[in-house]
Amino acid sequence: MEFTSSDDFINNESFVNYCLEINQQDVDFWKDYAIKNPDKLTVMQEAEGLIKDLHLLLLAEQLKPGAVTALKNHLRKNRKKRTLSLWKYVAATAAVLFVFASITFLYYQVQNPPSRPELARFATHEYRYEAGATERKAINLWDGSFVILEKGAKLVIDSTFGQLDRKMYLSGTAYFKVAKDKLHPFKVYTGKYVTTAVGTAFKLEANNTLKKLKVELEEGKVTVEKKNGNSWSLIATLNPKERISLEDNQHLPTHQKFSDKDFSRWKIQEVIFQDAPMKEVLLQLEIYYNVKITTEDGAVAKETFNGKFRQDSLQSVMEMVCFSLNKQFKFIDSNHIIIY
Amino acid sequence: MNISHTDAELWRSFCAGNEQSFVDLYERYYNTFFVWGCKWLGGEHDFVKDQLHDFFIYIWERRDKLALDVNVKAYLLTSFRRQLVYQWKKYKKIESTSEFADFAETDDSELLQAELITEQFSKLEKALTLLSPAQREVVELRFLQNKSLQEIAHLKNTTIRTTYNLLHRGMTKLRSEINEKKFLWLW
Repeated sequence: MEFTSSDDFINNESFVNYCLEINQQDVDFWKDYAIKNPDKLTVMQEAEGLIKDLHLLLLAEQLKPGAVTALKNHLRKNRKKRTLSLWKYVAATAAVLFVFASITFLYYQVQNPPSRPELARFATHEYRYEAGATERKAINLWDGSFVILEKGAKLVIDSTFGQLDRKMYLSGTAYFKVAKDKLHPFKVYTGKYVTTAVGTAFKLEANNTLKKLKVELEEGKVTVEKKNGNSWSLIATLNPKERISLEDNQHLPTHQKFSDKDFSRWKIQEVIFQDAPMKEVLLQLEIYYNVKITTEDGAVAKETFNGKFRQDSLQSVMEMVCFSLNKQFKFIDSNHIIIY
Repeated sequence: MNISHTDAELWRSFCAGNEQSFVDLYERYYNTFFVWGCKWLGGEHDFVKDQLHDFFIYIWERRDKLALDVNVKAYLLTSFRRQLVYQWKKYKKIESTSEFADFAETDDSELLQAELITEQFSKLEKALTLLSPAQREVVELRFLQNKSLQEIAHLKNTTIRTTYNLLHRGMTKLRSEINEKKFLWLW
């Protein structure tokens, strides 16, 4: 293999082994290579620098939660020492005061449980997604939920996602197919509003500059709340096939029915797969076209797929997918397809 | 979403005794300091980890003696490096008054270096957050846990090809993010 750019080095497994000193054989090989190819030294060093930095950064992120907890514990310990010595002094002066002090101290203990497991709070990461100006973006979240971001929309997944709830922030339009998880409500924050769902499918159109929000519910149930100072007040509960539009200066939102035809048409406006695992492709097609797709051959799931569809019928999409898999498909009933 | 305070705001509030601001500063600079500490010492992760903790405790205890008007980044990074190198020499029992002169640089160059270090670093940090969860996972398995492609494929019950593609796309994304401006890797 010819190595011309630093990317060639970065993508070489043996070279990474050398940089991270995983394998002595690779270390020897690349040391020798460096001597024999002095002209490659600059790009090699660049690649090595990135790989080592990446390794250290990942290590730092792994250590950080523990380190922050350790620092907080240190601060807390010192604070307690000070509180203790103060109370001791007070207790020595008067018995009545002592009783009062110990109650307060007990209360203080309860308020500050000594070793709360704080690690998890920092364990995950904030993720940002942004659809391009000309293309939509499909996202598989790790709880099994699925999101379509309309062109120009942005979604930030909060770093606490999955702990108490599943929190995210949206600007623009997006469709959510929420994985069922009653213990962790799925919450989408849009300006002053928060839309909460448990297991459901809905579409949000948030216009932050005009302070408008439109919610369309396909299935399940969602609630919409508005920020009111420090608390949230319930504005609406939606039933399937209902929509509401909210504007900041408008107090009474209106429930309207909407046609699921328009909704389905919106979903399939543009479907893009780029080197997508077939398992993911089929899952997305199920969501876009409201069908169930099963495969007879499990190996199919390991293939990858590239394709772009715009307002295509399910028939033609399935033909394309099956062609690439060298497989056939048939409808068992109106919403169940089998690939064989 | 969190409202992010500037360094200067956090610094002032920390000097006034605000614990949260102090913890925020620690969180903000942890990655940078850890990585650069390891670079300066050529590894020694555990030592750097402990020193980082001690260093922040040290500045916390001296908070009322610190100058309010400093370039926070440069000040912290320079102090940390001095402390780290000093402790390292003490730990290794290296007697060297002469070598210490290396670290008596002018403020300007230190400032410049701190800027350079944190700028290139924040790019990589930011780029890392842009990876998809799946990409991030393989990148971690490969570059943190030192797993081979074969092992990752096995672990994720997929093919080597898919694993390679995922990793390749992840790395390409990182590269494109940090390569906006070409800079030197100060290894």
